[in-house]
Formats: sequence, structure tokens, C-alpha cells
Amino acid sequence: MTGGGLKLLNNGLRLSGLIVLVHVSMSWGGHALADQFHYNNVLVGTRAVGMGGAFGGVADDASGLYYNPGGLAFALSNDIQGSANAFYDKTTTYKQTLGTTDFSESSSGSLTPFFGGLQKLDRYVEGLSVAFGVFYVDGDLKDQDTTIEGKQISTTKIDRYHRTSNARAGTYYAGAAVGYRPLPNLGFGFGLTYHNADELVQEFQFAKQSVSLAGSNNTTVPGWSTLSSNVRQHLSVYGVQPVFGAQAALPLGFTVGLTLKKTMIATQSLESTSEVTQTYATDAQNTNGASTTVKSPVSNTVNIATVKSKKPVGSAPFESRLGLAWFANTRLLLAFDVMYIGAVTDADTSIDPVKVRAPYAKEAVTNFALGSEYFITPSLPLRVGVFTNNDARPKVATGTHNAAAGQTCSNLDYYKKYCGQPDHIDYYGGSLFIAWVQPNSQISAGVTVQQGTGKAEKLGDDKVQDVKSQQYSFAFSATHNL
Amino acid sequence: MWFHPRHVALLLALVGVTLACTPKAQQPTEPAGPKLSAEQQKALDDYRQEIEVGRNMAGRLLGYYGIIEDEKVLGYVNQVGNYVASYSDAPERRYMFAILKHESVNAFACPGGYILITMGALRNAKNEAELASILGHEVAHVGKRHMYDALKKMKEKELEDAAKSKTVGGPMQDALVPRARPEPDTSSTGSRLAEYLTGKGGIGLNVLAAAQAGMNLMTGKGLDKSVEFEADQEGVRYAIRAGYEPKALLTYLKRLEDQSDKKVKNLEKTHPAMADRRKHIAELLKTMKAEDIIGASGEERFTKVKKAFPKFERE
Repeated sequence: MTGGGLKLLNNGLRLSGLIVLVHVSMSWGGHALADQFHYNNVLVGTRAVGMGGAFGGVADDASGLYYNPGGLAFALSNDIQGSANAFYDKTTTYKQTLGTTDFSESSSGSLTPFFGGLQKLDRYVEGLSVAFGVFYVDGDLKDQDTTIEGKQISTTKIDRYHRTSNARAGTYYAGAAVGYRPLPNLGFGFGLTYHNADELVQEFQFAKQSVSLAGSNNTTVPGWSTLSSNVRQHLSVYGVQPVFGAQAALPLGFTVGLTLKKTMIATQSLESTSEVTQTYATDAQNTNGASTTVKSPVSNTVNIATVKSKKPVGSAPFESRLGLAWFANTRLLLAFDVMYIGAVTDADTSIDPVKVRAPYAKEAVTNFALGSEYFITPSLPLRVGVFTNNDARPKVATGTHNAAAGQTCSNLDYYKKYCGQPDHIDYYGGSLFIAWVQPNSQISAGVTVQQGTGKAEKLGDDKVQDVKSQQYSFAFSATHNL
Repeated sequence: MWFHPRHVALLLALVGVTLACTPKAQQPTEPAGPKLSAEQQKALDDYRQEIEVGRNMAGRLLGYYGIIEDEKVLGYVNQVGNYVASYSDAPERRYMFAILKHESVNAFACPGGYILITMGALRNAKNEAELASILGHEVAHVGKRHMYDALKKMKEKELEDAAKSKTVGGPMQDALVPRARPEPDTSSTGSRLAEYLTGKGGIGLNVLAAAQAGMNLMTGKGLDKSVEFEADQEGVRYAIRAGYEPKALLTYLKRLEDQSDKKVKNLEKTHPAMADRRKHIAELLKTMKAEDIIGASGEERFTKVKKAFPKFERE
């Protein structure tokens, strides 16, 4: 995720290479935030995670709260389930960002994506079920320390670059849903979940570069400059998410489900504070007649800025999911989901350094998931799935770089089109899980892998880099049927 | 909820160390005793399996009907039931009695000793002798392993089909049938794991399928008529041994027979006709020359407890 760079270019430093990163990382989108621009980052539910999240036409366990509350009405038994990502790792590589050198962002950790339960209430009302659950659909835990020394980038030599990036971010839901079948083949459900997105990023960067400083009498003296930044950014969003679901059982074992969601944001806030210190220094000795003086440091400037917003993300997108499933027989289940998540156009542009883009604006996204469950033996179901996880940010446009024609990032019109664009990375992924089923319980373990490709402007100028990203997580879950 | 990798690693290490350092003596193991022969071990495993199936069935019934929690009434029923059971042919077994919150007339004997009687069946009794005979009937089902043997005689396919065809809440609706997954095997590994975790021996039968099939049988066509007649006769025999009025069950069945209420008549869906049952009991009394025995009715004690019978709207 990279953001604007006009501030960088207007600040008169015109440094290059790694020192540029110090500034870029301060601009919006430069931090390792929770990836709220991808909606399929974390899959929830014991069976659903193995099926690549293609569960809208099934949803007959506690995870129906998330996938389709209408499916709750078709539950065969009570259940309680919990799942955890034992370990996940994500690496995003920006190709040839520092001259010919790649630059990588990485994060890893462990999280608990889902815990929930379902209770059938047929003894009170035929076809009635309730479910509760807490789930994380997004998140990041970053603790990255990068040091680069003696790096030659173009004509500039970077003596030392040090970056410490820490992020804790997650999107959390907790709620309950009820499913009811007014007709034997038709179920409806309604859920209400509490929603909280919280992102905290703290980043320190330092860069030192050898430079020639202007001396007296139009001479130059050898010197060096340092640039350091400290940034702390905190985003909080609270709200509730009503979710409506419907599911119908069709002939020949087919089912179809529809889920509609819309988070109602109650409060949101963003606060970012940055402190940038820039120092020019030299150890050169200027001779003044018989005496010699040392002029170091030559200059030292400190810029402290605070940005606050009460509407950084704007409204939440409308989400819909259409699921189709085929219960071919007792051993085989196939499912296919299409998810459409609408655009967000009212995010705050004032938090952008040049007020050109809203960092949290989102375009409409369509994702797909295809999954299957096959019982190799009555106790060993194998679940596999493939899915897409497309980016809600706009595609990165490549600039024309014609300085003579004024096509530089200093030109606001040009900037709006080609500079400071956020990353755009589209992912596709797969999941493979094996479960061990016993009469009243099952445990499941497997891996989910995502591979992403896209474009970025990591340095905030109009230079576009290819980006590759990989994310894998080892997960396990347990379900107990009551 | 986030965990840093090093925290996870530390946690796993701690769990590993804890498990490694757990003394064997603290693990749930069977109390030390004489080594069992293969035949004895097999019988013990079979008995454990019976209890597992019965517990699962009882849980489903309790979950579906609800339970009467009045300590006075529940304690009384357990007292009478266990007293009669102590005069049964299987007094060494452990019996647990519970009262279902339902006004139909029925009682269920789940394998392993879980005996459930409906509130409706209790309300229709007039004295303790009748209650003792009813409970004696169920004790006989358990002691003679009527249900458990019936389930064991079923083939795997029959068990699976029976389990799918009906639940205690009624037949599985067509819309749900495609969602049924294969009934899992209870693997030896799972059995060993369960043994390690719980200290109980593993089981070889698919308990869930057996319990579902048992529910199907119990709430569907019922057990064979022959075993119902046998349970009637054995129950009466146990009650007589315990000192109760020999004709109590005859009187009780006649009272039910004289009622036209559906809640009572439904009993005949799972049991032989009341007249036929009375006939078999009368034959037994004649054979035992017990017709003239004057037993205890326990009417006064029963009447006192009856005043505490809870009232509820749901039927």
C-alpha cells in the first residue's frame, strides 16, 4: 500500500532512493494497515475455510452467522466450533523499487478467526435455529525490522537505512443470528453483529546519505544528511452490521442462498501524528584565514504534524453473496459463491497530504469461491477450495514521464492521474483441509494460500513497480456437535 | 485476538513441557484391580458401549421434552425406582430415573440404566404400587438389554438408514436429507485418544448412529411385542418381590384403557394393546399364585408427593 508523494516532491529535498521511503511511508496508505481493501483475507468456519469460503449455499452450522443466516434453519444438529490460524505469514515484494533491488513488507502472527455455536429450537418452533459467533475477517500483525547499509542507488549512495515497522490491526465482529424455515424448503435468517475495525501503526525510519553541501564562494564540501521519521497512526471504527439471508432447497440436492449485509458505522476516527527530523551536516573544516572552524551540523529542522478525522473511512460498503451448492450424495458436496461488495465514495479526502485521494475509498469488487467436500471415508472428509480476493483500490495507472511537457508529479493534474497511487494487488488462493470426524465432533487442519500480483508506486512518484504478494496460513479448528 | 509467533511458540513449549511433566498417576486411568480376562474385558467394553448409547438417547429425550427438576418428586421417583430395581434380576446395575416434562403417557428405558417417565404417566398413577410396577417394567427392559440387543442385531446399513429416517422431533424433512453426511467410524485411534483424555475405554460401535436408530425405534414402531410382554411380567414380578400390590399394573393399564385421550392412546403405537398386556399379566399372576397376595399400595405416600406434581402448560 503506497500513497501520495507530492509533499515529498515539494519539500525541496529531492533526495532519492531509500530516503524517499521515509517520506513515502508517512503518506497515507504507506503503512502496513489491516488490509481492509481485500475482503477474503481470513476465512471463517470449520467446513467453510476448507471449501475456500464457498459456503453461502450451505451455511448450516454456526458460521452461517457470517455466510448466510438463512442456512441456520437447515442445520442438522446443534454445534459449537472454534478455529484458529496456528500461524500465518504474508510477504509483499515490490520489484526493483530501490534501483534494481526489491523491497519487501512482511508480517506474521496467529489469530483466532472464529468461535461460534448453533442451537436448534425445533422443540419450540419447527425449523427455528439460533447462532452466535465472534469472528475476525481481516487482520495484520507486523513487527518488521529492516536495515540496509552501503546501498548505491543510481548516483546516490545510501550509507544506512533503518526501518522499524509495527502494526496491530484487525476487523472484528461479534453477534447472533436467527434462522427460520417457514416452508420446508425455504429458510430465512437475520443476524446482527457488533463491528469494530482497529488499526494501530507505529513506524520509525532513519536514513543517512552522503551529499555535497554548498560552501562559501560557490564551493562544495563533502557532507551527509539524515532524515528520520516517527509516525503513529490509529484508526477506530465502530458500528453494527445487520445481515439478512435466505436459502432454498431445490430438487436433486441443490440449494441456493442469498446474503445481504451493510455495516452501519456509528463512530469512526483517525489520528495520525508524525515527527520528521532532517539534518544536514558536514565534518569538513572551513578555513577562515588562520583559524579553522567546524560547521556541524549545518542545519537541523523538525516538522511535527497531526492529522485528525472523524470520517476517515466514510460509509461501509454494501455486501452481497450468492451461493449455490449441490449435495450430490452423502459423500460429496460442491459449492460456488459469488460475492459483490459495493463501492465507498464518501471517504475523507482531507486526510490525504494533498487532499487528492481519499485513502480509504473503495471501488466495487466481485469475488468468486469454489469449494468441495468429499468424504474419503466416513471419518475423513477432504475439503478443497479456490477463491479470488480482488483489490478494492483502483488499478495503478502508468504515467507518461514527459518532463518537457510538464508531465511530472509537481503538476497537480498529472499528479492526480499518475502519482501517489495506492497499490493494487489482486489475489487468488486455495485451501486444502483434512478433517477427522468422530460421532459428535471433528477436528480439522490445513492450509490456505493466497498469491497476489499487481502494481504499486512505492516511492510515491510516477514510477510503477510490479508487486508480488504471498500469504499462507496454517489453520486448525474443532467442532463439537451436541 | 492476536498472538505474536514467539508467544505461540512459548505457549506450545509450555504445553509440551506440561504434558511431558504430567505424572502418569495424575492421568485419568482405571483404578488398579485384578487383570481381566479377554472375555471379561469384552463384556466390560460392551457394557460401556451400552451406557454410551443409552446416555446419548437419554440426552436427546431430555433435550427434546425437558425435565422436571422438582427435587421432591424427582427424589421420590428415584427412591421407588431404585427400590424396585434392587429386587430385579439385575440389581447390580446402576439406574437413573428422570421425569420428562410432557403430559403424554409413556416411559423410556434407555440402555445402560437411564429410565425416563413422562409427567403424564405419573399423573395417571394412583398409588406407589402402580408407579413401582411401571418403573419395574422399564427396569426389566434395561436389565434384559431389550433395546441394546435390538440395536446390536441391526446391520450397519440398517443402523444408518434408521438413524436418517427419523429423529425424536419427527421424521427428517426432505429438505434436510441431502445434507446428511456419512456416519463416522469410531476409529481405534479415536478410541485411544478418548481413553487418554477421559480415562474411559474406547468403544467400537458407532454410538451416534446407534443412538439415533434407538430413538427411531423407541419413538417409532417400538420394541417387539414379545419383549414388551416380558417386561410387563418381569416388572410385576420385581414389584411383588419388593412387597407391592401384585395387581397394581393391571389396574393402571385398565385405567389407561378406559381413557380415549390421544395422549394416552398414543402409548399403543409403541406398545401392545392394553388389553393384551393385561391378559399376559393376569396369566403371570395366576402362574405365580399371586392374585391373593396383599401387597403395599403406598397410596398415602404417593398422594403426599402428588401434591407437589408441577403444573405446566406445554403438552
